[in-house]
Order: sequence, then C-alpha cells, then structure tokens
Amino acid sequence: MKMEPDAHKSSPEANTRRIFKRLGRTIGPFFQEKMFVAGVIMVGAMAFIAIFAPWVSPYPAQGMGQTAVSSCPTSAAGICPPSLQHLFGTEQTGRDLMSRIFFGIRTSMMISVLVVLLAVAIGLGVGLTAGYFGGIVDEALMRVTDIFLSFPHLILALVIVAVLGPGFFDVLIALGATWWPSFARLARAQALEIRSRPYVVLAKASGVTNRSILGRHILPNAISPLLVLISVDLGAVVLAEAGLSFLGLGVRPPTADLGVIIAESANQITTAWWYAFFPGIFLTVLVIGFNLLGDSIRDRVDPRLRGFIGTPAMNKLLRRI
Amino acid sequence: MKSDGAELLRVADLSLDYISPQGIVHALNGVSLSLRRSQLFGVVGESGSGKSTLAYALIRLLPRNAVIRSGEVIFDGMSLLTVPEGKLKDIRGKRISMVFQDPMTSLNPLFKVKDQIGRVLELHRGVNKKEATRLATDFLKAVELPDPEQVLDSYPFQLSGGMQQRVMIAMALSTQPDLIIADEPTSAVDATIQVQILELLSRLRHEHQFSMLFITHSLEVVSAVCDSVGVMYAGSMVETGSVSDIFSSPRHPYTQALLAAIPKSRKSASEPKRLQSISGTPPDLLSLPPGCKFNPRCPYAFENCRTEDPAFRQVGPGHEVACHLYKS
Repeated sequence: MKMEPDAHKSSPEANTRRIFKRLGRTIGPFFQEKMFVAGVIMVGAMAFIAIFAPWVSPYPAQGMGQTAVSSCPTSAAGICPPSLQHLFGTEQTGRDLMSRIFFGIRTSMMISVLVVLLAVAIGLGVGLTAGYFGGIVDEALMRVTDIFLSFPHLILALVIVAVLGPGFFDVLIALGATWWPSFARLARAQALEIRSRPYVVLAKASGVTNRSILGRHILPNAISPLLVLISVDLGAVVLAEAGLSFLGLGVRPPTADLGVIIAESANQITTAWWYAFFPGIFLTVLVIGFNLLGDSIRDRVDPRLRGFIGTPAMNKLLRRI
Repeated sequence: MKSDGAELLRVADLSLDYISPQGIVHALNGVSLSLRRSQLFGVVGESGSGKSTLAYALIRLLPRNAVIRSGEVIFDGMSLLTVPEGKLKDIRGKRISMVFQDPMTSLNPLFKVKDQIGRVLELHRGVNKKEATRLATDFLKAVELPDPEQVLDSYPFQLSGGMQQRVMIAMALSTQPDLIIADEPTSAVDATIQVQILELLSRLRHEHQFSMLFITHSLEVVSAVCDSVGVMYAGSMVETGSVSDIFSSPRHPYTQALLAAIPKSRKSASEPKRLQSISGTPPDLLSLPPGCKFNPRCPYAFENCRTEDPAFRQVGPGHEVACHLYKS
C-alpha cells in the first residue's frame, strides 16, 4: 500500500489541513441540498441583522426607541409611506420602521435562542435522568412532564405571563417553562435506548459512577437527534414570542419587537400597508429559515423522512404513470 | 501472592428469577461452580441456558426485574451478593473486568480509544493522563496491535472488528484484574480472527496471571482454550470437569448429545451428510419440567428423572455430573 508522503506527518499545518478536510467532509454534503443552503442564507441574514442592528439600521437611536422625533411632518399621526429617507416608511410615532424591525429581529432571535437553550437544559436534565434511571424516578419526572405537555404551548405561556407580568425575562421564563417537555421526552427516549448499549453496560461493569456515565456516554450520544428539534423549535419560539407580544403580554413597547410592531400596525392596516407588511415579511423569513434548516438536518439524520418531491424516486414513479 | 490453584471464585447453588408480565422466568436454578486462580473455565450452553445471566449475576449487574432466590457468590473471600453497592464499585472493573460479545458497540463511538482506555486507568489505577496514555500503549502492545499510537488516536469506527476486540481485551487487562468474565468474546468476529483472539487470550493468561470465566456456545472454542468446562442446560449446571474429561468421556446425556451435534467435515461428497440434532426443544423457563430439566428430551430418562432433581455426583477426579444414571 502506498501512502501519500505527508499523510501521517503531524506538523501543525498538516494537522490544520486535515481538520479542515475532515470538517469539509462532514458539512460538505449539507451544502449540496438547496433546502439547507436556503435555510442557512435566511437564518444567516437574520442573524447578521440581529447582531449588527445598531450599525445596519438607518436610524439606530430610533430603533432603540430612545428618541421619538417625528421625521415625517406631513402626517399628523407620524405615519409616512416608504420614501428615500425611510425605505420601509415610518410607524405611529414617526420612527423609522426599518430600524424598528431590525432591532425587533434582534429581540426575537435573542429570546428564541435563550428560550431554546433553557428548554434544552431543563429537558436534557429531566429526560436523561428519567430515561437512564427508569423506575420510580422515570414515572415521577415523566408525569410532571405530561402535565406541562397537556396544555398547548401558547395557553400555558399566557397563564405564566399573566402571573409574572409581561417583560423580557418573564417571556423568557414563560416560554422556557412551556418548551422543555418536548426535549425531555426526546432525551428520555434516547437515554432509554443508549443505556442498554454494550458500552454503557461495560462502563457499569467497570465501576464507573452513574453521573459519569450520564455525562460521558448518555449525553454525547443523545445530542444529535435533538439538533433537529432545536432548529425547528427556534422558529416556533419566534412565532410564539411574537404572538405573546401581539397580545400585549410579551416584550414591553419601548423595546422593539416584531410582535409589538405588528400589533401596533393592526389599527392602520387599511391605511398603511407597509406598517404590517414589512415586519410580517421578516418574521416569515426568520421562521421559514429555521424550519428549512431543521428539515434538512432531519433528512441527514434520518434519510427515510427525506422529501419526496423532486427526488429521483418520484421521477421514476412519474415516468411509470 | 497469586498462588496457583487457590480458589478465587465459588458460586454455590445460585438461583435467579426474572419477574416478567408472563410469569416468573426461572433463569438460573442452583448453579454451582468453582474457579481457581489462573484457571480458564468455560461455560457452554445453548441460547437461553442462563450463561450470560450467570455472568451478570456475579457482579450484580442485573436488570431491575431480576430476583436472586438463593445461593452465594464468594470472590476471594468476599460475598459478592451481599457487599454494599459502594464497595462493589471498587471490585467491578478493578478486580473483575468484562469483555463483551460485540466489540463494535462495546466502545463509545464518540471518543478516541486513548480516552476510553485512559479513563479506565485513571479511574482504577489513579494515574494521571500522561501516565495513562503510556500504560495504554503498553497494553495495546500486549494484545499485539500493530502501531499502538495510531490505534490510540483512532475512533472505534476506524478500527476493524478484530482490532476493536483486541482493544476491549486490552481495556479489560489494563486494571490487572484477578478475574476476566468474557461473554462470547469471539462470536462476533470471523473464524480467522477468532483463532487469533483465542491464541492471544491463552498467551496473556500465562503472562498476566488472571482467571477467566469464558462464556460461549461453541464447544470447539472451549476445547481450544479452557482448562475446565461447565455445561449449562435450562439454568442449571449439568456437568463440570476438565476439558479432557468432558470431551473424552462425557457423562451427562445432554453433554453427549452436544458433542454429537458438532458438525464434522466429510472426507468426500459421497459420504452421507450427518448432522445430529437433539430432539425436542429447550424447556420453557416459565414452566420447567419437574425433576431433571433434561428429562423430556433425554433418551435414557426413567421414572426417577421425572420426579427428582438430580444432585451433583462425582464420577471422576474433578468431574461431576448431575444425572440419575450415575450412582456414586
């Protein structure tokens, strides 16, 4: 067998090259899928806007809601149609709508990421413990999970916000508390399966502590199916948060938020189309982006669920008809 | 310290049930065996005869629905069935280690070999990471893996089945245990690798001075490596003895039938095909027949066999059989 001359050389450069090569092999196939690329572009653009909102907004201060100077004197209410000064028009207090939307995306994404992180943390903790130990621990934890699951997400979040009162952190807690059960169930199913794998049994036979087994064997092997759920749920949380804000139970008005803007626009829907249209577009792009990402990751993880449309299998079927 | 011939493990009258929705499964029914230091004891039996359950019962790694009905397990003077869980953790892995059937799934796919052997060494021998890697290299050399450094730096899926099983054996060896329990260690690898692994095990046994409980369904494997054999049937030990005793003068009808069932190569195609099977099926562990468990399939069964459970009788030096045919 002939080897490449520098195949096993471990100079730093060769190492780096090898790491990138391996990384390319892992991620590469993803980019051959249009769905994944579309998802990455959508989410990437939104993330860029969210992170750099103060720099990409035409009127950053107005986006923050710190100044309320009407820059559109022609209208009494301060609502102007799109113009060169205000590409997306202005909203009810005369603030630049584009800036408000950009900062709104920032709020939405931040909440959605934090909520999902919180949900994953709780869900993994509860689910892995329940699945790994089984028995009474499992029963107790899963019945609590079932109680949370028995309410629709938004209804439960509404109740919690109603108790805590609206605000950034209250929304975070409310949504986090309603989102963890699905992660817990998935994590439990994973743990149930992994705990009977030989390497876990062997670890037990080697006197490894339960905590160590959970951390080193169960958790790392349970993560990948959760990725799909994480990605899809990021989009769902964006929607739920916008819904709460729309109802006036989410983020408080001075903070820019897509749900808040859409709620404010509801009164002007017949006279100012841009007011609801632009935030709606961005919200849609954000949610669809997360869903596309989630779907394409799922296709990778479980090819049996791959979309049928446009596949060679479908073409073959069509030809037969 | 490790004197040859001293008794290391004694299992006496071990009975174990699984509670299942269908009823009580009598998985082990009064199993007894004795293992000396540096001895290689083979446990043979069909699927479902309780071989693996026996292995797991020894280190109390049983599913929740298992109930030990009676018996005791004495390991180096300690009663393993009664020691507290905390103390058992020091015995598992350190003094008794295990090798499983399927090497492919016995290693965590997400960690390099180095991390997995290293962890065992850190846990049981209290060495630091650097020292652990050095020791791991030594043990990989001991199991005759070429290029140990390369193997250490590999993920399990980058190794072949035979290499993985060698890694598993190195891992089992690395804590320098007194006893290795091997649950069908060669059933998942192909024939040539099987021979290599068996040769490796018999060589390592002399160098590293461990005893081994070798669980398998293959009589050939037993005859190749073991000193003594125990034949299990329906959760009971039916015959124990040295390899030469069992293979040259099997006493229990079941052992005789098992030996007759080994497929033999024919000298020419014209020779008639001879595959002897044992008539009937293994008993349902939910409702065992009264008396000797083998009596419904036994060609020599008589009245006594259907009513009375036979006790072990000595039929030769170190050769014992549980059968009514032999009166002591």
